[in-house]
Amino acid sequence: MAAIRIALTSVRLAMRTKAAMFFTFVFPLLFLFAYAGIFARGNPQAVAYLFGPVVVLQVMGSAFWGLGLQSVMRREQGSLRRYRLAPIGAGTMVGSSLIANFLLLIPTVALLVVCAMVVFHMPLEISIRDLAILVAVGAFAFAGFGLTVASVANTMQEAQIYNNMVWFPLLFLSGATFPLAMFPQWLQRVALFLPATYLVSAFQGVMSHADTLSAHWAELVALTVSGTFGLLFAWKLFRWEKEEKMKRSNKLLAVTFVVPFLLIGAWMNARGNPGSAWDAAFKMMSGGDSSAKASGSKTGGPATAVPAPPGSESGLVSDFDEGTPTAKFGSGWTVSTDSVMGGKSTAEMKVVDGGTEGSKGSLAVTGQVFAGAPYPWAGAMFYPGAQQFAPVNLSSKKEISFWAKGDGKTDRVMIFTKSLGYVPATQTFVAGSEWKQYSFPLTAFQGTDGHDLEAVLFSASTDPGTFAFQIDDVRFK
Amino acid sequence: MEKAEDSEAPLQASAGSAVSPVVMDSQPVVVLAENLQKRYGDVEALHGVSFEIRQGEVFGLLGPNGAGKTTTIEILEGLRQPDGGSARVCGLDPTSESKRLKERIGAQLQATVLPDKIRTEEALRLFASLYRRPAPVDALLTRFGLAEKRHAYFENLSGGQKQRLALALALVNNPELVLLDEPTSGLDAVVRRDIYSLIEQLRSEGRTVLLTTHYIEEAERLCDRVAIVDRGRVVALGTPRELVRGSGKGTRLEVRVERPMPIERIRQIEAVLDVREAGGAYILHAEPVPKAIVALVRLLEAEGNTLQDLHISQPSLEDVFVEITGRRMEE
Repeated sequence: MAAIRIALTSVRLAMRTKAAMFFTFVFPLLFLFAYAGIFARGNPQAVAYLFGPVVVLQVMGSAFWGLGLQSVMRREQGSLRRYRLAPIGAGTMVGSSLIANFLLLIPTVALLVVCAMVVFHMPLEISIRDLAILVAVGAFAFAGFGLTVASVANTMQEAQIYNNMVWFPLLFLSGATFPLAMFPQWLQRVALFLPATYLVSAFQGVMSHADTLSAHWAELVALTVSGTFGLLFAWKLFRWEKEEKMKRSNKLLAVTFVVPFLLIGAWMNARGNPGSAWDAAFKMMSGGDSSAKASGSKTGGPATAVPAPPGSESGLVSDFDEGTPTAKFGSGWTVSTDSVMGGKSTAEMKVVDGGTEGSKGSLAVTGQVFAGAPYPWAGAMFYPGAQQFAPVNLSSKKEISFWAKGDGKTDRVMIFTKSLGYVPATQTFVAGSEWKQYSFPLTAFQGTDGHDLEAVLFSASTDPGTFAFQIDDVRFK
Repeated sequence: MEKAEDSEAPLQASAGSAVSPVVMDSQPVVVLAENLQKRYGDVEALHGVSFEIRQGEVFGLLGPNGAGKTTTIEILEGLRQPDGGSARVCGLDPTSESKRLKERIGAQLQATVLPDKIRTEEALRLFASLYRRPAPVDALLTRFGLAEKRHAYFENLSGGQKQRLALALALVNNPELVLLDEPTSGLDAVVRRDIYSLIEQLRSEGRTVLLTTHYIEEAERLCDRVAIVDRGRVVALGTPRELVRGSGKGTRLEVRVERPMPIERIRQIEAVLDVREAGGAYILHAEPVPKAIVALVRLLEAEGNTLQDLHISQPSLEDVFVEITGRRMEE
């Protein structure tokens, strides 16, 4: 197996090169620490959510800036000529590059996993085997991309230009840097034409949503097809000599390189916009609770007929009379703050004695809001679905009602729905020292009819300072 | 296999090789180049190069830079496709049977570039592993004087060591035919002689060798037969002795005199065939030599001049080249 022998030598050579070592091990670690330390603030769930993008950046970076550029450099320097004298073909060279790239990614990803788990206590729900498969599929997909760019480019300079032209859209539109959930729907549709999106999406599904790998079969198929096409192009367009110019027929062939990606993008779009899955993953990170992870979820397809949650018929969410923050339906209450987005706000919730109209208990929420986060919040979040942020159909209800009392400051009730995306609809109320009932029509929340309701957040205002409020008898009517 | 005709080799000798003519002619043809043509854009690199090389022969392509030597050797290696003509190497078509051919030939490129951080032994083992019948790497390291440098990175080898490694790489598959493209180019005289003895070893092993060079000394010392290539054509072909003898140049005299004198006066001396000035000396070709020397001495006496130095030698391939092309090799 000539390709394996050449690949093993390439790996050994990389290990002897300081620059290669830096970009193989140190650079991705810097990314991990930046993402986990700055964006996730060490929150393990958030680290799990951001781990995928860190790995994807490394997979893409090694393909474009390592594999691709190295291939052009070897051609320019003339070191490919020596291989050309041996009884091997272009396929062996392309194969060896692919293998070497994957072999170099294994220790990198292993190092990232160990660091994320040891330093940031990242939960690892995915098995090592599935992680290896995901990395292998990603490496396969992007190696084809990187090598095709290398085959088309005549010089290092050209290769860098082409790389940047491909790299930046993949970087910024795939979710590897900005969460896909933050994109408007039309941009999410565009993102589905980019192979990097599939890898980010699959990674975030398995890492922060506890999806099985098979739940992401469509992404894996799309990546595999992308990689196959890419490598076929790279093989067909492979050039040994810098003097060899691309034939006109090959230039035309290079133009058709985008066709498979258009087809795959169209297919992925036809399957539905996975925006809800991306939202769920992102909000899961924001919620910072892992209770729903064990229950698993389904992603990768459109949310179609959303059912009403069982137990929601009476509309009562919680009266807190049992002394615990349980709910009659959905997956319960959790504390939610802006800390997962880099903020410093804090919150605590506990069921206390005494509720409205002489009831046994109510939910007391206390804490402090700090300036600094782009959108400060701190409070208690209720999830009406079986999993956090799973949308439910409460369109049979027309309003949300609750009793509240507090420190006299303005507080917020915020509703998340699938169709609203990442940004919730908000209404405010002032909780004074006496219990008072508040009711808001659902339509007051940006016209929602409750058919895809994901969460309700009772939060302090964005004003910095301490806060305290109690809520009771929360219900949909 | 028919012997290739070479219509563009005016000095091609009919006699066999000076080394072992009978043996050479009875050997099978290993390389047959017929009317090879190659064009790079507007530049016609080869205008119809033809020659044949028989088994066990050391054959040289001699010519200045840009003559078409490298293009020819790369066509035979299967690295380039000719625009016209045909080539058979070890009975195979270098283009369509490239993979089979590469198992049987070893080649050293004009410039062998390897990764900086690859070790000497590692490079040999890697490339040896790409062939079905690899040569023992330890033996190659010893033979090419690289045993002590087996762990050295390529970037840390001297020019001579790199060239020896390139030669060793050309032998990793124990090839029948070895193609060497300017094996001593850019090396100092000591290292060059070192490489000469390695190539002579290849000859003694009975391997067929094709080498390109622009060093006259190299072609004269190493090659059984030489094809002089200029501007994409074979302008002469034969053993070095045949070429020189066939040139009609006569014996070469290098004369230094006390006071410069008009070159026309020397040209008029009896038996002098031609004369030119080079480095303060007069280079004459003359036949018969005694007659020319006597006439020269008489002329100097008549003019009150003095003969300071006189070297007599046989004409070289350089002279042959000058005669055929009207230019010196380095021009």
